[in-house]
Amino acid sequence: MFGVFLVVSAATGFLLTAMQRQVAVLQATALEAQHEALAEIMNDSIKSAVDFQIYQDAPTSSTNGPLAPGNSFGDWLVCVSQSGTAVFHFDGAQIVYQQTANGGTVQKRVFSGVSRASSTPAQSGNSGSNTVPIFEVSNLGIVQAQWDVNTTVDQVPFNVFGVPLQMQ
Amino acid sequence: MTWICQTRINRRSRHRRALPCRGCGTSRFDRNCRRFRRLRSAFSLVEVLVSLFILTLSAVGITAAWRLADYQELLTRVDRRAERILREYYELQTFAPADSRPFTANASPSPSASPITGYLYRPRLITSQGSSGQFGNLIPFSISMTNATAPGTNQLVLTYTIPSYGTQASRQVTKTVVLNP
Repeated sequence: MFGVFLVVSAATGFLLTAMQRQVAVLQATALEAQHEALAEIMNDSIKSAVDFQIYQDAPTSSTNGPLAPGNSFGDWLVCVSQSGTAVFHFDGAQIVYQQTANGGTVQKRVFSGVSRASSTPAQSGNSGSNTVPIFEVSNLGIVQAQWDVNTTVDQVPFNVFGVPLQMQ
Repeated sequence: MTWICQTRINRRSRHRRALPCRGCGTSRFDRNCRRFRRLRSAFSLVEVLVSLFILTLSAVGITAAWRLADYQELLTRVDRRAERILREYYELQTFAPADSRPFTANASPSPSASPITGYLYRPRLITSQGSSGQFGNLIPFSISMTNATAPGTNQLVLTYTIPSYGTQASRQVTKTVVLNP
C-alpha cells in the first residue's frame, strides 16, 4: 500500500511541478509578446507624430490646439498624429496606452509588469539607477523610451528609439 | 526424500478448505472471502519495484525532454530579442541625425570602434525570489558596424554566444543587416 502511495504521490508531484513551470514560462512569453506589441505601437506613434511632448505630470487635456510645452524627460508621452492622439503613461507598475481617434473613439490598453530601466544603453550617457525616466528626448529630438519587464522567469529590457516625422 | 500420500493431501486440502475464515465466516479459499480477495488484489514487492523503476525512467526521460524544450525556447526568445535590438539600432542608425547616430561610418573596412554591448537574457535569481528581485546577466551581445568599401553596403552586426547544451558546444550567432545609403 505504501508503495502505491509513493508511486502515485511522485507521479502527481512531478506532474504538478511540470504544469506550474510550464504556466510560468507561458506567462513570461505572453507578457514579453504584449510588450513587444507596445514597443511597436510606441515606435509607430512616435514616427508618425506631427506633434509630441513628454510630461512629468499628467498633461492638461487640450482641445484641437497644439500641445502645451513639456519636459525633456518624464513618465507621460503624448503623440499627436493625423489619425488621433496616443498617450503613454507609466504609473509605477504598468504602462497605460490610450488612443483617442479623431472621431472620439477611445481605446485603452494596460501593459503590466513594468519597472524603470535599471541600465541604460551606452549612448544615452545616463548612469544606471532606478530614477531613469521612462520617456526621454535628446537635444536633437530623438525620443527614447526604456523600461524593464519583470516576468516570472526573467527581466526583459525594452528600448524604443523614435525619430519623429519632421526629423527623418 | 519423503513420499506423501496423495490421498492424504487431498483430504487435508479438503479439510482446510472446509475451515471457515475468521473474518467473514466463508471458506478461506472461497472467492467470496474478503480476506482472500484482499490478498489477491494487493501489489507484490516486485510489482512496486518495477513500477518505481518505470516511473524513474519516465521521470528522467520527461526531464531531459523538458530541459531540451526549455533550451529551444530560450534560443527562440533570445533570437527574437536579438532581432528586436538590431531593428531598433537599424532605425536609429538610418533615421537619426548624423550627430546622434550610435555608429559613425568611416572609409576603413574595419569594424567601427566601441561596440554597444548588453545582455540578451537576465534570468531571475532563485535566491532572491522572496526579495525585491535580482537578475543575472547571461548571453552577452555586442553590436558594431562594419564599414564596407563600397558605398551603401555598411552593415550592422549583432553577435552573441548561445550556451552549450549536453554534447553541443556553445556557438556564436551573428545577425547582420545592411544599412541603407
